[in-house]
Amino acid sequence: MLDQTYSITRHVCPRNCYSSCSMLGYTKNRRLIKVTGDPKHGYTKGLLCAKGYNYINNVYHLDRLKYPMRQYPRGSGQWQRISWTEAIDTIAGKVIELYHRYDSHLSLALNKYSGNMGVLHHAMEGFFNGLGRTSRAVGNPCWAPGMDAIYYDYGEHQTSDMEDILHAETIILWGINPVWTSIHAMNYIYEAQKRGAKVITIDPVYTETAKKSDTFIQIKPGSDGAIALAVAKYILEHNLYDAEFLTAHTNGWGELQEYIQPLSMEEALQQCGQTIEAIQFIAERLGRNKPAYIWLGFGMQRHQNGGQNIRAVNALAAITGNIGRKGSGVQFGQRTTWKFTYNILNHLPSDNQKAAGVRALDFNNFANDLQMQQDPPVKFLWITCRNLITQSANIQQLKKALQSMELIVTVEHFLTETAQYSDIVLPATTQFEEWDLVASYWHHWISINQPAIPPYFESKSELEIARMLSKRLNEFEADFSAFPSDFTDEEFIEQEFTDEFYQSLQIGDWRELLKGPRRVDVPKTAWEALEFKTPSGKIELFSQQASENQLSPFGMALLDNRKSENYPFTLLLNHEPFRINSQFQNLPSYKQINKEPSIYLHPSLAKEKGIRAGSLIRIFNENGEIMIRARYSEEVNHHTLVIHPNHPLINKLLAFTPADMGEFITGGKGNALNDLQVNIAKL
Amino acid sequence: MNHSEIKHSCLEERMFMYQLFLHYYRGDLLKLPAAEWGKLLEILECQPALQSNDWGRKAVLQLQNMTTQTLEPFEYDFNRLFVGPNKLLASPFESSYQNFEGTVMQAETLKVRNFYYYEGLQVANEGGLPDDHIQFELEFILHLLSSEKKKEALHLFLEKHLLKWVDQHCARIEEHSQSLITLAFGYMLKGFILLEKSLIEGEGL
Ligand code: SF4
Repeated sequence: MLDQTYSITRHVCPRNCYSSCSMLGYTKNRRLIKVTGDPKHGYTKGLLCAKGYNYINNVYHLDRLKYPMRQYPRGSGQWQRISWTEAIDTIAGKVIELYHRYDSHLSLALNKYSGNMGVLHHAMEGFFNGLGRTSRAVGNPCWAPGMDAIYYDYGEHQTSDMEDILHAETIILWGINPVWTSIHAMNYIYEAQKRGAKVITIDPVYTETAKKSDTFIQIKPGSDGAIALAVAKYILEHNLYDAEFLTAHTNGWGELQEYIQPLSMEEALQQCGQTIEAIQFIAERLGRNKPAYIWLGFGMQRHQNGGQNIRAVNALAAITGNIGRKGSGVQFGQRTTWKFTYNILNHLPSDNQKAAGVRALDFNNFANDLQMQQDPPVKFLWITCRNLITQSANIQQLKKALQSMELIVTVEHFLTETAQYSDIVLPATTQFEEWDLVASYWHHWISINQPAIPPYFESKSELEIARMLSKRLNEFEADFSAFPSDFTDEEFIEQEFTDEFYQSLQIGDWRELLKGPRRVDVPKTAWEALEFKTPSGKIELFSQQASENQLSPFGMALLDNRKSENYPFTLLLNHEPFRINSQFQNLPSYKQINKEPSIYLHPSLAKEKGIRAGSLIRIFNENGEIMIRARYSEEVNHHTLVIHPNHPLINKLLAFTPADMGEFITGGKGNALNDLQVNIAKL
Repeated sequence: MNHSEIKHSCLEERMFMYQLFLHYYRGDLLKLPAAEWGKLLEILECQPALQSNDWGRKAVLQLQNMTTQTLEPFEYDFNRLFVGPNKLLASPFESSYQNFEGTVMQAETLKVRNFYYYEGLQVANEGGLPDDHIQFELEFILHLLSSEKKKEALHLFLEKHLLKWVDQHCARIEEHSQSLITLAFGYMLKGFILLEKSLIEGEGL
């Protein structure tokens, strides 16, 4: 008989998203029937976004990968179903062969990113670590410059609890569009507004969030640092700074004043496209309507001066004493709750002859590094949690570099463009079919993920794949791989906790997470103790560390004039609410929304270029050209174009343009994706 | 043989055809050597009901044109249509035809499972493999067909399930097939289903 009762299990949305929502899965008859938010999650409070509520359609998607498959020749579309044994044997055989050929594991490379943010999804990195020294994509396309900037200024990455915003008088949403990309934050923002806070959105685009704000300030893309500088200058000239705070908690105020004073206000205004009234407004809000809570989005640091942009806003907050007090602070992203041991990464070879560590291949310049590193060359590429081919710059070069691989393995849910370009694809389980742990880069809650249903067809978790591979390698050659093949999922979870972490979560055992997510005991207000892990122990308005890394010691600087005459328009890559890059693209109902890629341009520019709404136009720069449908939008200014990067088209225009920062924390410079200069023409 | 006269399949032929389709959808024929295909063709040529049906004859004609070269793309095409890893071009799952999102493991899957339970049967890896994959439905039909007592259940299952979606499935095969063999099996299934329908109608159940 079919069962009439259902079971409820806990899950976490593992996507690269602010919310890291805890979810409840309802299962009846071994079938997932409903997914809801988890009311016990203190930040998301039982709500999901549209993507989250749609997970069933993702899990039971007809096109999910069902079996290990092999393709020959690569890219031909001629796929054969193979057994897991055959897949693992083929892969293990290649790993061993390459090791003997080169007497090292450097010809093996791993390229993993944020397709799944779970702790146990570090299994493949752990597996590669267990072999010895291998090659790996290192760096980060998302937040690298900002992470360095925060580090230079504060020495650590903290955020406040979102409830803290309720104490704010002024809220500045700087280059962030939470209505689309961080929906849970909006309830807190609305509540703060109700309690009297004024919300200012600073953005190059008149976003949905801007529409809900009290004030919108439209800036030129990348000029965030210039506007901050103008505001700082105004604050200085009108004594709006917090002298007491500056003396007690900052380092380098004197130097910064000296640096700012001679800079031209006019030039700053011209660079950010603002009037002095707008500058005065921001300065007075920061100086007189405190506390001011500033939230910085990720887009503003995807510029060549991206790190400087973030440092400039950090400085503004410090100058006005808006750090460490309830309702204040500069929020970007945090890592203080990531207190896991990451033991999964630390099963290193016991054989001292085998070198440990990685040979870094720049994540943002991967194609180039793949070709550069020839001693030995990379011959085996493992891709996981990553759609390399649609989410990379320099696509042609990348495809060329991939041709010299002898084996490409992709672990996936769907046949992405990257999987299409692989020799073997391995079907992965979703968060409804596996164990995991997830921490957020934004809020302070930790959630557990347990399996609800059997794996879809023959899919397996990455952890299971790593274990199988390790076991097989050791059967071929004793002690070849140190990654434990005999630990259960639960044992791996157990090893991620320490007593200190348990204490911080106020639990005695990880299984208690099955009753609900737990908040990590970190300060509710970032920098509440006003103690900073910088060399000076204070907020560094002048950073010797930055200077030593060939950067300006000050966060504030005017822009270099780098507009090109041939490509006078800035094309911004702004996320939309229904997809996360290439994820969620294949849901039929979502395909009805924004059916085809479009570019948004101001009608005045369209008129100037003779472009009709809805017509196909050409966008080009030195890297390539694309044809795309034009849509009019009054939300952008004359020189700014916007595209939602949920299709691979745009990559034809992208190369690697290094941002100023990123190496310090993430191991590689960010890619200045929002400095994409293009020209347009009607067809 | 008089081609204009439609024959009803006898039980033996029905069993044979269901078994053949079961093997086909289970992937057993993917590795069949060329010589064995010759033998299979000979058997098909002697199935009276199939031969009395336009689609059946069309299928056999297709297979008669088979060469070793046509065998090669068969597996790739079979996977494109029914297995993946690409977007499935002719889904072999009943439920995917019944909802907008085209998902598997839906209400129909459970209804099918209920039928199996009623007969004391269960698919292996339940919950991981959808019960309404054509392979399982065919296997279940074979089970029902083996006993005269289960005739009513058989007709009910056919009417409520396989016959409801298999035409759409065949249409997609016709549209997307790129190999002589998958197309032949698409025709053959279409023809055989027509015979099954007329048989059921004839029996007035
Ligand atoms: S995408 Fe983000 S907001 Fe949506 S369910 Fe996942 S974590 Fe929550």
